[in-house]
Amino acid sequence: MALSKELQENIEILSYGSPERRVKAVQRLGRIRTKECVPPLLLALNDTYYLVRVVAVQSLSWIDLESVIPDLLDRMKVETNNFVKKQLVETLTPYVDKSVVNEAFKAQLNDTYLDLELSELITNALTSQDRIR
Amino acid sequence: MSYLFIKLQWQPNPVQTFLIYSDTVSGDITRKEIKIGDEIQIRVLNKGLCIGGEVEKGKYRSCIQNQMHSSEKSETYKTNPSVRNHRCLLCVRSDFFLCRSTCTGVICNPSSPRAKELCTPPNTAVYVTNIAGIDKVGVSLSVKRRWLEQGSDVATKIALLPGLEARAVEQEVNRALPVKLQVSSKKKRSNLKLENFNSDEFRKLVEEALSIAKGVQNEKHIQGKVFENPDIIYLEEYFGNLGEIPSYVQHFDLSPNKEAGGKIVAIKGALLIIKSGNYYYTLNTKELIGCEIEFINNAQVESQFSLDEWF
Ligand SMILES: [Zn+2]
Repeated sequence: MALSKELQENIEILSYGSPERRVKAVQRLGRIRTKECVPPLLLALNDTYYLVRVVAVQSLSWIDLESVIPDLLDRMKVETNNFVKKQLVETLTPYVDKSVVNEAFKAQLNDTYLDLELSELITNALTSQDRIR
Repeated sequence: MSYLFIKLQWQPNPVQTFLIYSDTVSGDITRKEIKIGDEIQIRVLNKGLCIGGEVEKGKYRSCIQNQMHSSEKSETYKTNPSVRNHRCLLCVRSDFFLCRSTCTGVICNPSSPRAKELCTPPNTAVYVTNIAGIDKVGVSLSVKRRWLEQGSDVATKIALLPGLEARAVEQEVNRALPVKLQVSSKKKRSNLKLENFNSDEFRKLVEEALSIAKGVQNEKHIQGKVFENPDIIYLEEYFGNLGEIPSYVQHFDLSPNKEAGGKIVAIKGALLIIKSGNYYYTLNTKELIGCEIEFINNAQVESQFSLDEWF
Protein backbone atom coordinates (compact mmCIF):
# COMPACT_ATOMS: atom_id res chain seq x y z
CA MET A 1 0.00 0.00 0.00
CA ALA A 2 1.35 3.40 -0.94
CA LEU A 3 1.97 5.74 1.92
CA SER A 4 0.10 9.02 1.82
CA LYS A 5 1.99 12.08 0.70
CA GLU A 6 1.71 13.69 4.13
CA LEU A 7 3.14 10.61 5.77
CA GLN A 8 6.03 10.47 3.28
CA GLU A 9 6.87 14.13 3.85
CA ASN A 10 7.01 13.71 7.59
CA ILE A 11 9.19 10.62 7.31
CA GLU A 12 11.61 12.55 5.12
CA ILE A 13 11.76 15.43 7.58
CA LEU A 14 12.66 12.93 10.29
CA SER A 15 15.72 11.95 8.29
CA TYR A 16 16.89 15.32 7.04
CA GLY A 17 15.09 18.10 8.92
CA SER A 18 16.31 20.44 11.64
CA PRO A 19 15.53 19.47 15.26
CA GLU A 20 12.53 21.81 15.36
CA ARG A 21 11.15 20.40 12.13
CA ARG A 22 11.67 16.87 13.36
CA VAL A 23 9.64 17.68 16.49
CA LYS A 24 6.83 18.99 14.27
CA ALA A 25 7.03 15.85 12.16
CA VAL A 26 6.60 13.48 15.11
CA GLN A 27 3.72 15.66 16.32
CA ARG A 28 2.00 15.32 12.98
CA LEU A 29 2.54 11.58 12.89
CA GLY A 30 0.81 11.42 16.26
CA ARG A 31 -2.12 13.32 14.86
CA ILE A 32 -2.42 11.21 11.71
CA ARG A 33 -2.57 8.30 14.16
CA THR A 34 -2.63 5.42 11.71
CA LYS A 35 -0.66 2.19 11.94
CA GLU A 36 1.68 3.35 9.17
CA CYS A 37 2.95 6.05 11.52
CA VAL A 38 4.33 3.52 14.00
CA PRO A 39 7.58 2.47 12.24
CA PRO A 40 8.87 6.03 11.66
CA LEU A 41 7.92 6.96 15.23
CA LEU A 42 9.85 3.96 16.54
CA LEU A 43 12.89 5.20 14.63
CA ALA A 44 12.35 8.64 16.15
CA LEU A 45 12.80 7.11 19.61
CA ASN A 46 16.50 7.09 18.72
CA ASP A 47 16.61 10.68 17.49
CA THR A 48 19.53 12.73 18.79
CA TYR A 49 17.29 15.61 19.94
CA TYR A 50 15.50 14.84 23.23
CA LEU A 51 12.26 16.66 22.40
CA VAL A 52 11.83 14.51 19.31
CA ARG A 53 12.05 11.48 21.60
CA VAL A 54 9.61 12.96 24.16
CA VAL A 55 7.02 13.65 21.48
CA ALA A 56 7.63 10.32 19.75
CA VAL A 57 6.78 8.53 23.01
CA GLN A 58 3.56 10.55 23.32
CA SER A 59 2.56 10.07 19.70
CA LEU A 60 3.24 6.32 19.82
CA SER A 61 1.13 5.96 22.94
CA TRP A 62 -1.81 7.57 21.15
CA ILE A 63 -1.72 5.07 18.30
CA ASP A 64 -1.36 1.71 20.01
CA LEU A 65 0.55 1.85 23.23
CA GLU A 66 0.21 -1.81 24.05
CA SER A 67 1.95 -2.99 20.88
CA VAL A 68 4.96 -0.71 21.40
CA ILE A 69 5.58 -1.44 25.06
CA PRO A 70 8.67 -3.58 24.29
CA ASP A 71 10.14 -0.76 22.17
CA LEU A 72 9.52 1.82 24.88
CA LEU A 73 11.10 -0.46 27.47
CA ASP A 74 14.16 -0.93 25.24
CA ARG A 75 14.45 2.82 24.96
CA MET A 76 14.13 3.24 28.72
CA LYS A 77 17.13 0.97 29.25
CA VAL A 78 19.46 3.20 27.26
CA GLU A 79 17.81 6.60 27.72
CA THR A 80 19.96 9.17 29.54
CA ASN A 81 17.77 12.27 29.32
CA ASN A 82 15.53 12.73 32.36
CA PHE A 83 12.72 14.45 30.45
CA VAL A 84 12.47 11.51 28.08
CA LYS A 85 12.72 9.02 30.94
CA LYS A 86 9.94 10.81 32.78
CA GLN A 87 7.77 10.71 29.68
CA LEU A 88 8.43 7.00 29.33
CA VAL A 89 7.57 6.33 32.97
CA GLU A 90 4.38 8.42 32.85
CA THR A 91 3.32 6.73 29.64
CA LEU A 92 4.03 3.19 30.83
CA THR A 93 2.59 3.57 34.34
CA PRO A 94 -0.90 2.38 33.35
CA TYR A 95 0.77 -0.91 32.37
CA VAL A 96 2.82 -1.37 35.51
CA ASP A 97 0.89 -4.56 36.31
CA LYS A 98 2.39 -6.22 33.24
CA SER A 99 5.41 -8.11 34.43
CA VAL A 100 7.74 -6.74 31.74
CA VAL A 101 6.90 -3.16 32.72
CA ASN A 102 7.04 -3.95 36.41
CA GLU A 103 10.47 -5.52 36.10
CA ALA A 104 11.78 -2.68 33.94
CA PHE A 105 10.61 -0.13 36.53
CA LYS A 106 12.27 -2.07 39.33
CA ALA A 107 15.47 -2.26 37.29
CA GLN A 108 15.40 1.54 37.01
CA LEU A 109 15.28 1.82 40.79
CA ASN A 110 18.47 -0.23 41.02
CA ASP A 111 20.30 2.49 39.13
CA THR A 112 22.18 4.39 41.81
CA TYR A 113 22.41 7.48 39.60
CA LEU A 114 18.67 7.66 39.01
CA ASP A 115 17.24 11.16 39.40
CA LEU A 116 15.39 11.55 42.73
CA GLU A 117 12.19 12.81 41.16
CA LEU A 118 12.13 9.88 38.76
CA SER A 119 12.80 7.50 41.57
CA GLU A 120 9.77 8.83 43.45
CA LEU A 121 7.63 8.68 40.32
CA ILE A 122 8.56 5.04 39.72
CA THR A 123 8.12 4.09 43.37
CA ASN A 124 4.65 5.64 43.33
CA ALA A 125 3.78 3.78 40.15
CA LEU A 126 4.89 0.49 41.66
CA THR A 127 3.06 0.92 44.94
CA SER A 128 -0.12 2.72 43.91
CA GLN A 129 -3.31 0.80 44.62
CA ASP A 130 -5.25 3.16 42.45
CA ARG A 131 -5.13 1.37 39.17
CA ILE A 132 -8.03 -0.69 38.01
CA ARG A 133 -6.31 -2.52 35.19
CA MET B 1 -31.61 -5.02 32.87
CA SER B 2 -27.93 -4.29 33.09
CA TYR B 3 -26.00 -1.08 32.82
CA LEU B 4 -22.49 -0.01 32.01
CA PHE B 5 -21.27 2.18 34.84
CA ILE B 6 -19.56 5.26 33.41
CA LYS B 7 -18.79 7.44 36.40
CA LEU B 8 -19.80 9.36 39.46
CA GLN B 9 -20.04 12.98 38.46
CA TRP B 10 -19.85 16.07 40.63
CA GLN B 11 -21.52 19.22 39.41
CA PRO B 12 -19.99 22.29 41.03
CA ASN B 13 -22.70 24.97 40.85
CA PRO B 14 -24.92 24.13 42.65
CA VAL B 15 -23.10 21.17 44.12
CA GLN B 16 -24.83 17.93 43.15
CA THR B 17 -23.71 14.37 42.60
CA PHE B 18 -24.82 12.03 39.83
CA LEU B 19 -24.30 8.45 38.83
CA ILE B 20 -23.88 8.12 35.08
CA TYR B 21 -24.50 4.80 33.40
CA SER B 22 -25.71 3.53 30.06
CA ASP B 23 -28.17 0.78 29.22
CA THR B 24 -26.15 -2.10 27.78
CA VAL B 25 -28.82 -2.79 25.15
CA SER B 26 -30.16 0.59 24.01
CA GLY B 27 -27.06 2.60 24.91
CA ASP B 28 -29.28 5.24 26.53
CA ILE B 29 -27.50 7.27 29.16
CA THR B 30 -28.97 7.82 32.61
CA ARG B 31 -27.79 10.63 34.85
CA LYS B 32 -29.25 9.91 38.24
CA GLU B 33 -28.79 12.29 41.14
CA ILE B 34 -27.69 10.65 44.37
CA LYS B 35 -27.98 12.20 47.79
CA ILE B 36 -26.96 11.45 51.32
CA GLY B 37 -29.57 9.09 52.77
CA ASP B 38 -30.29 7.31 49.48
CA GLU B 39 -30.19 3.54 49.28
CA ILE B 40 -28.00 1.91 46.65
CA GLN B 41 -27.81 -1.82 45.95
CA ILE B 42 -25.82 -3.27 43.09
CA ARG B 43 -24.43 -6.49 41.71
CA VAL B 44 -21.34 -6.47 39.51
CA LEU B 45 -21.60 -8.70 36.44
CA ASN B 46 -18.53 -7.89 34.42
CA LYS B 47 -15.59 -5.57 34.48
CA GLY B 48 -12.99 -3.92 32.26
CA LEU B 49 -15.31 -2.71 29.50
CA CYS B 50 -14.82 0.34 27.32
CA ILE B 51 -16.85 3.38 28.40
CA GLY B 52 -16.05 5.41 25.28
CA GLY B 53 -18.69 6.94 23.09
CA GLU B 54 -19.51 9.67 20.66
CA VAL B 55 -22.30 12.10 19.91
CA GLU B 56 -23.84 11.25 16.58
CA LYS B 57 -26.75 13.19 15.12
CA GLY B 58 -27.43 14.72 18.52
CA LYS B 59 -27.72 11.36 20.24
CA TYR B 60 -25.06 9.78 22.38
CA ARG B 61 -23.88 6.42 21.11
CA SER B 62 -21.75 4.43 23.44
CA CYS B 63 -18.91 2.27 22.21
CA ILE B 64 -20.94 -0.74 23.34
CA GLN B 65 -23.88 0.33 21.28
CA ASN B 66 -21.74 0.96 18.23
CA GLN B 67 -20.50 -2.58 18.58
CA MET B 68 -23.92 -4.03 19.15
CA HIS B 69 -25.39 -2.37 16.11
CA SER B 70 -22.64 -3.73 13.96
CA SER B 71 -22.85 -7.07 12.16
CA GLU B 72 -22.12 -9.23 15.17
CA LYS B 73 -24.81 -8.41 17.62
CA SER B 74 -24.63 -10.87 20.39
CA GLU B 75 -22.64 -9.71 23.36
CA THR B 76 -19.90 -8.27 21.23
CA TYR B 77 -19.32 -5.60 23.86
CA LYS B 78 -17.62 -8.19 25.99
CA THR B 79 -14.93 -8.48 23.35
CA ASN B 80 -14.29 -4.78 23.55
CA PRO B 81 -12.10 -4.50 26.63
CA SER B 82 -10.69 -1.25 27.83
CA VAL B 83 -6.98 -0.84 27.39
CA ARG B 84 -6.41 2.60 28.82
CA ASN B 85 -8.43 5.08 30.88
CA HIS B 86 -11.37 2.68 30.62
CA ARG B 87 -11.41 2.95 26.86
CA CYS B 88 -10.76 0.48 24.09
CA LEU B 89 -8.12 1.10 21.49
CA LEU B 90 -10.58 2.57 18.98
CA CYS B 91 -11.99 4.98 21.52
CA VAL B 92 -8.55 5.96 22.81
CA ARG B 93 -7.49 6.88 19.29
CA SER B 94 -10.54 9.03 18.72
CA ASP B 95 -10.09 11.05 21.94
CA PHE B 96 -9.40 14.65 20.90
CA PHE B 97 -7.69 15.48 24.21
CA LEU B 98 -5.26 12.57 24.38
CA CYS B 99 -2.35 14.95 24.89
CA ARG B 100 -3.68 15.91 28.31
CA SER B 101 -3.02 12.46 29.68
CA THR B 102 0.56 12.34 28.40
CA CYS B 103 1.59 15.94 29.10
CA THR B 104 4.62 16.33 31.36
CA GLY B 105 4.96 20.09 30.83
CA VAL B 106 8.05 19.80 28.64
CA ILE B 107 6.60 20.46 25.22
CA CYS B 108 3.13 21.17 23.87
CA ASN B 109 2.03 18.33 21.61
CA PRO B 110 -1.65 18.98 20.93
CA SER B 111 -3.46 15.83 19.88
CA SER B 112 -6.05 17.81 17.91
CA PRO B 113 -6.86 21.40 16.94
CA ARG B 114 -9.63 21.42 19.55
CA ALA B 115 -7.22 20.35 22.29
CA LYS B 116 -4.90 23.18 21.27
CA GLU B 117 -7.77 25.66 21.35
CA LEU B 118 -8.80 24.57 24.84
CA CYS B 119 -5.35 24.32 26.31
CA THR B 120 -3.48 27.32 24.88
CA PRO B 121 -5.35 30.26 26.50
CA PRO B 122 -4.51 30.96 30.16
CA ASN B 123 -7.50 29.03 31.48
CA THR B 124 -5.80 26.16 33.23
CA ALA B 125 -5.70 26.56 36.99
CA VAL B 126 -2.87 25.29 39.14
CA TYR B 127 -4.12 24.36 42.60
CA VAL B 128 -2.77 23.09 45.88
CA THR B 129 -5.00 20.87 47.95
CA ASN B 130 -5.00 18.68 51.04
CA ILE B 131 -6.69 15.31 50.61
CA ALA B 132 -6.75 12.72 53.37
CA GLY B 133 -3.97 14.59 55.15
CA ILE B 134 -1.74 14.66 52.08
CA ASP B 135 -0.75 17.82 50.22
CA LYS B 136 -1.18 17.61 46.48
CA VAL B 137 -0.66 19.91 43.50
CA GLY B 138 -2.63 19.64 40.28
CA VAL B 139 -3.95 21.41 37.21
CA SER B 140 -7.50 21.66 35.95
CA LEU B 141 -9.74 23.59 33.59
CA SER B 142 -12.51 23.38 36.18
CA VAL B 143 -11.08 23.44 39.68
CA LYS B 144 -14.09 23.21 41.93
CA ARG B 145 -15.35 20.19 40.03
CA ARG B 146 -11.91 18.62 40.24
CA TRP B 147 -11.68 19.24 43.98
CA LEU B 148 -15.05 17.64 44.53
CA GLU B 149 -14.17 14.72 42.24
CA GLN B 150 -11.01 13.92 44.10
CA GLY B 151 -12.46 14.52 47.56
CA SER B 152 -10.30 17.50 48.52
CA ASP B 153 -10.70 18.59 52.13
CA VAL B 154 -9.07 21.97 51.63
CA ALA B 155 -7.90 23.64 48.43
CA THR B 156 -6.79 26.85 46.80
CA LYS B 157 -6.07 28.09 43.30
CA ILE B 158 -2.59 29.53 42.89
CA ALA B 159 -2.44 30.47 39.20
CA LEU B 160 -4.32 30.60 35.93
CA LEU B 161 -2.04 29.83 32.98
CA PRO B 162 -1.88 28.21 29.53
CA GLY B 163 -1.99 24.42 29.82
CA LEU B 164 1.69 23.72 29.20
CA GLU B 165 2.95 26.32 31.67
CA ALA B 166 0.38 25.23 34.23
CA ARG B 167 1.78 21.72 33.92
CA ALA B 168 5.32 23.09 34.24
CA VAL B 169 4.40 24.91 37.48
CA GLU B 170 2.73 21.76 38.78
CA GLN B 171 5.84 19.69 38.09
CA GLU B 172 8.13 22.31 39.64
CA VAL B 173 6.00 22.56 42.81
CA ASN B 174 6.03 18.78 43.06
CA ARG B 175 9.79 18.75 42.64
CA ALA B 176 10.58 21.56 45.08
CA LEU B 177 8.03 21.03 47.86
CA PRO B 178 6.73 18.03 49.82
CA VAL B 179 3.62 17.95 47.66
CA LYS B 180 2.34 14.90 45.76
CA LEU B 181 0.93 14.66 42.25
CA GLN B 182 -1.39 11.82 43.26
CA VAL B 183 -3.12 10.53 46.35
CA SER B 184 -4.02 6.86 46.20
CA SER B 185 -7.55 5.64 46.79
CA LYS B 186 -6.27 3.55 49.66
CA LYS B 187 -4.98 6.65 51.45
CA LYS B 188 -8.22 8.45 50.73
CA ARG B 189 -10.42 5.79 52.20
CA SER B 190 -8.26 5.28 55.25
CA ASN B 191 -8.43 8.96 56.10
CA LEU B 192 -11.92 10.23 55.41
CA LYS B 193 -12.02 13.01 57.94
CA LEU B 194 -10.14 16.27 58.12
CA GLU B 195 -8.03 15.50 61.15
CA ASN B 196 -4.64 16.83 62.13
CA PHE B 197 -4.87 19.52 59.49
CA ASN B 198 -2.75 22.55 60.25
CA SER B 199 -4.05 25.60 58.42
CA ASP B 200 -0.94 27.69 59.15
CA GLU B 201 1.31 25.06 57.62
CA PHE B 202 -0.97 24.76 54.62
CA ARG B 203 -0.94 28.53 54.15
CA LYS B 204 2.86 28.49 54.30
CA LEU B 205 2.98 25.76 51.68
CA VAL B 206 0.65 27.75 49.44
CA GLU B 207 2.91 30.81 49.78
CA GLU B 208 5.89 28.75 48.70
CA ALA B 209 3.96 27.32 45.76
CA LEU B 210 2.93 30.86 44.77
CA SER B 211 6.53 32.02 44.66
CA ILE B 212 7.46 29.04 42.50
CA ALA B 213 4.59 29.87 40.14
CA LYS B 214 5.74 33.51 39.96
CA GLY B 215 9.27 32.35 39.21
CA VAL B 216 8.11 30.18 36.32
CA GLN B 217 5.89 32.95 35.00
CA ASN B 218 8.67 35.55 35.05
CA GLU B 219 11.24 33.22 33.58
CA LYS B 220 9.07 32.25 30.64
CA HIS B 221 7.27 35.60 30.15
CA ILE B 222 3.91 33.91 29.88
CA GLN B 223 0.44 35.35 29.87
CA GLY B 224 -1.93 34.50 32.66
CA LYS B 225 -1.80 35.29 36.35
CA VAL B 226 -0.45 34.09 39.65
CA PHE B 227 -2.83 34.98 42.48
CA GLU B 228 -1.97 37.15 45.49
CA ASN B 229 -3.12 35.76 48.81
CA PRO B 230 -5.78 33.43 47.38
CA ASP B 231 -8.74 32.21 49.47
CA ILE B 232 -8.41 28.81 51.05
CA ILE B 233 -11.56 26.82 50.48
CA TYR B 234 -12.90 24.14 52.84
CA LEU B 235 -14.98 21.52 51.05
CA GLU B 236 -16.04 19.25 53.92
CA GLU B 237 -19.60 20.57 53.94
CA TYR B 238 -20.32 19.02 50.54
CA PHE B 239 -19.44 15.48 51.52
CA GLY B 240 -22.12 14.66 54.08
CA ASN B 241 -21.78 13.70 57.68
CA LEU B 242 -18.17 12.54 57.85
CA GLY B 243 -18.24 12.89 61.65
CA GLU B 244 -20.61 9.93 61.92
CA ILE B 245 -18.14 7.55 60.30
CA PRO B 246 -16.08 5.38 62.64
CA SER B 247 -12.34 5.19 62.22
CA TYR B 248 -12.45 1.64 60.88
CA VAL B 249 -14.37 1.29 57.64
CA GLN B 250 -14.47 -1.79 55.42
CA HIS B 251 -14.19 -1.69 51.66
CA PHE B 252 -16.51 -3.29 49.14
CA ASP B 253 -14.95 -5.83 46.83
CA LEU B 254 -16.38 -5.01 43.39
CA SER B 255 -15.26 -8.10 41.51
CA PRO B 256 -17.75 -9.79 39.16
CA ASN B 257 -20.59 -11.54 41.01
CA LYS B 258 -20.07 -9.47 44.16
CA GLU B 259 -22.88 -7.41 45.61
CA ALA B 260 -22.65 -4.16 47.49
CA GLY B 261 -25.13 -1.81 49.04
CA GLY B 262 -26.72 0.05 51.89
CA LYS B 263 -27.53 3.61 52.86
CA ILE B 264 -25.28 6.39 51.64
CA VAL B 265 -24.03 8.41 54.61
CA ALA B 266 -21.39 10.44 52.81
CA ILE B 267 -19.99 11.00 49.34
CA LYS B 268 -16.37 12.06 49.24
CA GLY B 269 -14.74 12.35 45.84
CA ALA B 270 -15.29 9.03 44.12
CA LEU B 271 -16.02 7.24 47.39
CA LEU B 272 -19.51 6.46 48.55
CA ILE B 273 -19.53 5.82 52.28
CA ILE B 274 -22.27 3.32 52.90
CA LYS B 275 -23.85 1.93 56.05
CA SER B 276 -25.05 -1.63 55.83
CA GLY B 277 -26.40 -3.12 59.03
CA ASN B 278 -24.09 -1.94 61.76
CA TYR B 279 -21.06 -1.61 59.52
CA TYR B 280 -19.66 1.15 57.39
CA TYR B 281 -18.11 0.52 54.00
CA THR B 282 -16.49 2.54 51.27
CA LEU B 283 -17.59 1.88 47.72
CA ASN B 284 -15.01 3.26 45.32
CA THR B 285 -16.96 4.28 42.22
CA LYS B 286 -13.67 4.47 40.31
CA GLU B 287 -13.47 0.69 40.63
CA LEU B 288 -16.95 0.51 39.15
CA ILE B 289 -16.06 2.41 35.98
CA GLY B 290 -16.30 0.07 33.00
CA CYS B 291 -18.25 -2.52 35.00
CA GLU B 292 -21.53 -3.99 33.86
CA ILE B 293 -23.85 -3.78 36.84
CA GLU B 294 -27.43 -4.47 37.87
CA PHE B 295 -29.45 -2.57 40.42
CA ILE B 296 -30.93 -5.08 42.83
CA ASN B 297 -32.78 -5.32 46.13
CA ASN B 298 -31.19 -6.56 49.33
CA ALA B 299 -27.60 -6.93 48.29
CA GLN B 300 -25.76 -9.72 50.06
CA VAL B 301 -22.98 -7.81 51.69
CA GLU B 302 -20.00 -9.84 52.72
CA SER B 303 -18.32 -8.54 55.78
CA GLN B 304 -14.60 -9.24 55.71
CA PHE B 305 -14.99 -10.24 59.28
CA SER B 306 -17.52 -9.67 61.99
CA LEU B 307 -16.37 -7.31 64.70
CA ASP B 308 -18.47 -9.34 67.12
CA GLU B 309 -16.24 -12.35 66.63
CA TRP B 310 -13.45 -10.44 68.26
CA PHE B 311 -15.11 -10.16 71.61
ZN1 LIG C 1 -14.53 1.75 22.84
